[in-house]
Amino acid sequence: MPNSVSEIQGETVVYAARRIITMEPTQPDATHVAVRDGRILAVGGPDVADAWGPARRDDRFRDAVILPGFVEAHSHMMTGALWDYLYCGNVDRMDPDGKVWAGISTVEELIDRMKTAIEALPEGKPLYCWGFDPLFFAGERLNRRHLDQAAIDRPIAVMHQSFHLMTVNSQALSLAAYDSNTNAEGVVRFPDGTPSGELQEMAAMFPIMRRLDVQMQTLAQGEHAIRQFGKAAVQTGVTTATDLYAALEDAEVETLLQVTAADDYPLRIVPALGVIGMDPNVAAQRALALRARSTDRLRMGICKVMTDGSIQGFTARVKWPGYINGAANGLWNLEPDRLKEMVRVLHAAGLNMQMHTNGDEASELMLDAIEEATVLHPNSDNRHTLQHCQMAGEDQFYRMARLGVCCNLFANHLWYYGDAHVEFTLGRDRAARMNACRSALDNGVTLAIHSDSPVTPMGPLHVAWCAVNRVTPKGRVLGPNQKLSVPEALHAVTLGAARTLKLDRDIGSITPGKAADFAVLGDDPLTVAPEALRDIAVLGTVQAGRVFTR
Amino acid sequence: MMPIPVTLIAGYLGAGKTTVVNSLLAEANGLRICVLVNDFGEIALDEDLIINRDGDTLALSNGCMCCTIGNDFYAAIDRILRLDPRPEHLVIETSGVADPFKVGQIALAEPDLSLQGIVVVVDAVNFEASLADKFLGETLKTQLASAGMVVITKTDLVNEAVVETLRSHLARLAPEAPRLVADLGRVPSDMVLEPMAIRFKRGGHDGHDHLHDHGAEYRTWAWRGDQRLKADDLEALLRLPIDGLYRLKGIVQLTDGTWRSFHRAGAQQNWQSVQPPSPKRGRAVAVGLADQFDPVELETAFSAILV
Repeated sequence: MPNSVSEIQGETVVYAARRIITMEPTQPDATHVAVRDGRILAVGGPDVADAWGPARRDDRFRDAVILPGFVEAHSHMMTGALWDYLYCGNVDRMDPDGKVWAGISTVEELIDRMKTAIEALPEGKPLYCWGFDPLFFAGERLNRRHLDQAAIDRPIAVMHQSFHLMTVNSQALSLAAYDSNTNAEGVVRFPDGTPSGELQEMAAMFPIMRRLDVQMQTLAQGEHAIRQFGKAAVQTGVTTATDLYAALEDAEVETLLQVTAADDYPLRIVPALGVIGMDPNVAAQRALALRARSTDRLRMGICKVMTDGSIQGFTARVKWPGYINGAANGLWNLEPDRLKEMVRVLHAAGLNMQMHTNGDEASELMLDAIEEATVLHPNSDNRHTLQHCQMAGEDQFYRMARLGVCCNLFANHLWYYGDAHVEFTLGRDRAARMNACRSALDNGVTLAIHSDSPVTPMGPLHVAWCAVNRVTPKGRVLGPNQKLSVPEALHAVTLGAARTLKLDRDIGSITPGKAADFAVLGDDPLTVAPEALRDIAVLGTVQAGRVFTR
Repeated sequence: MMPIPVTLIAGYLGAGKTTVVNSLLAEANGLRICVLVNDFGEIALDEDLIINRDGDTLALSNGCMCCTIGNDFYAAIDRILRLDPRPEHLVIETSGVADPFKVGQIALAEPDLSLQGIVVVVDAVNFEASLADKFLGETLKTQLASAGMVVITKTDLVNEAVVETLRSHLARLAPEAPRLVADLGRVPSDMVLEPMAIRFKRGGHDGHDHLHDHGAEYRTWAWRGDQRLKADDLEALLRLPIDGLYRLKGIVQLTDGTWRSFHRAGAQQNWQSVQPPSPKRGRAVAVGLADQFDPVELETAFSAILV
């Protein structure tokens, strides 16, 4: 755990900083903030707390820049415990303990890393890896022959960064009896007909995962997962994070309540009840019951609706003219009529829905559904939020504004998948308008931006950097007219994100009365070059007045 | 351990998938079927049939069971594979927007499962509108392209012209799949659960096990009852010329009290003495080419020999 400092009841602490960026129009800048009982007492200069009696001055952030604690409004609990597996990605990535794992890009580096990890494993125990991305890996496509060099006497499974692919060694293949007679299309073959070790999509991965007892669910549940999630948040300046598709069964809710109540737990978690597969009325009752059990650090009651798949997986529902490679349109998660019924019932119950919509046909369906629900139940201010919403056009942003719908755009995608979208999925013109942050703001839509961690690494400064620069690894700038200014991007990872979760009365800006949630940075995002935004060091967080340093 | 045969029942919302599933459960004939559904809501089971209800599982007195998928399809499959004893057949009712080709991959990949077939249910009333729906049309085409068999429901609610249009759509969208007209929603479980052509690749035609003429359309007839038959009458019936009859099979009690199973396929007939079934009830099912076979004709001939 990062070292935490518990505050004393009733004590006033005044933090001095090089600069405090508040996100409040009345007073955008300050140098001092007074905190009492976990909340912001006053914001201003050195005399900020004079009117409030005795105060303890704390200068530890004297050289740092303080922002409102970042709000990651689309992430998943698995972010932390995934590090129980061996990281094999191509980018440098920080684990929940703050250790940076260097990216690897060759077979040799991969095998070396695996061998080192295997030395610490009991005999015969499988090795699980994650984060591997074949797009950025030099040489021949990763296959079982490579992994067999690391071990032939124990199973090895490498989960790719997309979570849709896996590569395994020969021993793992034999566990699932995969051979030349296996007909499943996801079991990739060598030219000689034998399985190459690459397994595409869950149907092909599942028989291996069952036999290796890999349960992604356990990475997203239980005390360890919750604690690791909290640690990962501190590393990136996040003080409030969603777990944006949670089963929230009774036992898990108990665990969440218990773990987040600990004095040293550094994060406010906002789990969204995954409602797909539930009867709409049951889902509504469940969400309302959960909402009633919320605490400050566990905010339940929002719901997650899934509509389509992913663009790079060609499973997003895309309007004409579709995918540039001619791939068939993607998949709905649920019948459009059932989705509409779900939206109608949850909306009528006054619940907030976070709606996964990657393709523009999916966002259109959800806007239709919200409009129909609003006619029947004219609730105001539900703040339903289109999540990802990567392909929305001007018409849809305009409509969102008219309907009071927010959007949480997947800005990180511009960097991590931008080149792929230009070359393989949507082509240059539609890739340029992906995650159109400028259009959202110009149409008056409440905007958040996100990482979808662990799909891309958690890190609001990186997400903001993407929205500001819109560059790709190959040096393309995707839709320069859609760039945000740095203040706008910072707003989208703080107050904007808080608004989409209906938490802006408590968090998202630095103003008296709100939670004392701060991201503590090593440099000033408003003065560094916009290109360097993502390089600013995160020194730690303050969460409800408690200090967590890295 | 033998892999569990898997049959998918696909089709859009309202096509009649649940009717087909209900009919499979009601006519399981001793086969311990496990049905995986999105929710129990529409499964119209006789309350007497349910012997245990445990969260996501219903156990039925005929040995069958029903499980809900919940929010994790693979976790549900895992639960079923851990059952002891394992079911003898797994029927998966996919969601109305599922791509059965993709859902079926699990039964091709998992060594403990074996894909028997993909049945796509369409209904004569809503097919045309669903095909034209901008959010659904393409999904429907994708489903039909994977069909090993198409079951058509609700033909009794529309006029013949509508059925003709439906036929021409199916001839184009699923040219290789035999079609089964489910009169009054009844389908013979053996025919739906038996192995059918499986497409292993998108757009490929490498299916095996072609049991049917491509694109042929079938009608069915079914009987259940306690009446008995004379052995001679049964043998005569099995030889009786019946236009378009593709298959007739069943098990009946003879007037001497013994039980006999019979089977007629094309010009072949056979029958043999068997142990009484459980429950002790006679049953028979027939399938014939839709444009020739008249279920009423068979019904008349069969009723005439019941004692």
